[in-house]
Amino acid sequence: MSKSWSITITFFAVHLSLIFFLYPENMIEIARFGQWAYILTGFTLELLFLRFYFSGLAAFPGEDLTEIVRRYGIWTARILLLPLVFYFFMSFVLLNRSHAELVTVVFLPKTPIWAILLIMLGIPLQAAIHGLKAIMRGSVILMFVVLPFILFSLVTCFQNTNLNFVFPLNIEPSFWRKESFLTGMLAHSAFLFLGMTSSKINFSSKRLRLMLYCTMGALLPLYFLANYIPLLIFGPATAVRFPFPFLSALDTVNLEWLFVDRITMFYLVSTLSFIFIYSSILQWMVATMLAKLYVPISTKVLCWAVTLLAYWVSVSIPDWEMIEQLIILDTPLRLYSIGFIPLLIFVVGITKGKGRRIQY
Amino acid sequence: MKRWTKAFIAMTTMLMALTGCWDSKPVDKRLLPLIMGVDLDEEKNTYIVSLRIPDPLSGSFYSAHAEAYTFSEALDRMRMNEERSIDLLHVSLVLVSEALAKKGIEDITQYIMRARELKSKVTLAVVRGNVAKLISDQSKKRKESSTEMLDLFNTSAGWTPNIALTHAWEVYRDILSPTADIVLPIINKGTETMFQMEGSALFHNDRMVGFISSDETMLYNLFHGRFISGIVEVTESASLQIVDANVKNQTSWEGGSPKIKSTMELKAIVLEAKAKNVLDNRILKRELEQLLEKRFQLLFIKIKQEHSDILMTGVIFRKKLTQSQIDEWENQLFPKLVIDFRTVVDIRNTGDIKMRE
Repeated sequence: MSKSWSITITFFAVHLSLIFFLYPENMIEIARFGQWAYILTGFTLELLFLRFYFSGLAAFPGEDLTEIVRRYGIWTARILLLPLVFYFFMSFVLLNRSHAELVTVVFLPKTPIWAILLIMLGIPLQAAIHGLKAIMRGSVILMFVVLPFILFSLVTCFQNTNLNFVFPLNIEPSFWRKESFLTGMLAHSAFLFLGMTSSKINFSSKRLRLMLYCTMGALLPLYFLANYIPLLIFGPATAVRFPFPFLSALDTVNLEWLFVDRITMFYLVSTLSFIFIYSSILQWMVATMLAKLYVPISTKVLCWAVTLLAYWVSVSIPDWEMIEQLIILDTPLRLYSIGFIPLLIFVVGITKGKGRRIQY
Repeated sequence: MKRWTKAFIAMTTMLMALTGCWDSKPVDKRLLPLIMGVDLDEEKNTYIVSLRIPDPLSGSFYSAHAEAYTFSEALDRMRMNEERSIDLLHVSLVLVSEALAKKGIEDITQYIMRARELKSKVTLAVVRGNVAKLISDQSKKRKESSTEMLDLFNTSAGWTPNIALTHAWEVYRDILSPTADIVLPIINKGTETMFQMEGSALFHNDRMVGFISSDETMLYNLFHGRFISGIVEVTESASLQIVDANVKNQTSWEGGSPKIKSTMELKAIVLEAKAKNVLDNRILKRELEQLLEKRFQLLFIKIKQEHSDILMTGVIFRKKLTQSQIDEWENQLFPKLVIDFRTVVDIRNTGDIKMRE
């Protein structure tokens, strides 16, 4: 399989890890109506920033984020990219910690968090040590194994939906400054990882960019389904009461002929495998960025160090409330990373690029 | 040699994982109840919780009872006395006493949705008479392994549209939602089967407010598109079997009050007829249409009186409502609602005997 295919599949998988978990809760929380507009806004923003990002990355084939920003001097790069490193690290911690909590909620109520986290951090570590190539290969395989299950559970959910719950279609006009909308942008932050892969993958290829845009197109219905399945099953007034609306929606599916009673298990195991992919990418990115900009030691050692630190931080988060607090605290970092970093790369591309600009 | 050392270390680590099964309980040390009963002790203000636990080996069952202020406390007491662990994951029917239904079932629904001990797709039903007695009823009516009675609520087994079928998540949804109410089946102790259907209980929010017959329940199910073929309706001149049903709703505002124009398209076949020689399709058609339309009118008057929006008209009307109108639907708009209900019957065939000579 060619590199451009495997990066496309990884791109897809990484998004899936974020769509079905915290995102529906955030979007449903914004208001009791008009979810379509909030989803579309977030999606369009991601598309826009992705375009800026591409245009910058394409100007410097063979160089990754750190090398591109380094043109402004090592200290500028260190300062400008520090929030991004920190954001990646926090995403890594929060993603794993919140999913560990979800595992205890759904099927391992008595298992201690530290044991679940050990597995959740250990497997990605293994992949991260072997580098990007191993992660991409792994994600292709996982995708083929897991995607059918995800699609199956999505389709079965329609058993209980009532289309009338789509209405009313009005929009809450101040949605863009609501906390939950900004938190929900988490699901649109996954594209940032492309910046670190550009040392190995050439984004000046028009075909690859087109493939990634098409992947975004394929993701749009999933963004909608993640929100609208719980909404159409429970109605907005009830869906807003669930901390994991999609999970509760899956719990209602009743299939007599299926060998499992709760289809939720499928969903959880599949999202966990996407989490493994994203975690290993985050781990690898943090380690690589640290090695290239801050501490010049081997990435392998840094991977271990990052994982141990993340493990320690995750274990010391005691409850769900604190996870939510941290995700909210994370918001400025997230906005900086999603908004500013692509623009920065775009500007570097214009000012320092060798005249090679993307042709659309 | 180095490779062997690595392999050895890896295998030893795996061995360590074997010791740490936190949640494991052997299957033979678990009790898996199928039915849970909840009653109210009105003097002490406590819940009486009972469980019916099948014993697959002997084909009979155990039952367990406990009384406490909350459900979890009652279950905790049962667990204290029981030798084996009680695992509620397989409970698929929750029986609520009529007294509790009249007082409100929000607590039990919230418990089901919150605790995840029971499935959120568990079926709820109201029991006339003593719940605990029904659950521990030892009289064996038929030779069957003790799980068959649940098939009554299974759409791919013994369920018919005369039975209201409502799951816990729907109850929870409709308690919170301002535009929908629920119907729960009312059952009693049967003489030949374990349960006997008596009709359905109308709810407003979480309280039982009225009663509808099983014929009306059938109409309610048809209206929601929950249909399996084989319902028999008896008109003056024939017995007809409904084989297909389809409902279309049109919504409009008429002078400030909501109006729904509802058309139910039915397909029926003739099973029995009074007239021996000549059947008139038009008469059969009109008779069935009138029968159902009249029944619907009575049903609608009843639910309007009780403020119980079981037809989910508020949800059907959603596309023409603003958020503030949705919030006041229950109190302001539903009492003003007009439903223009029409049935269109198509007699598909008259069976294996010709219509006329």
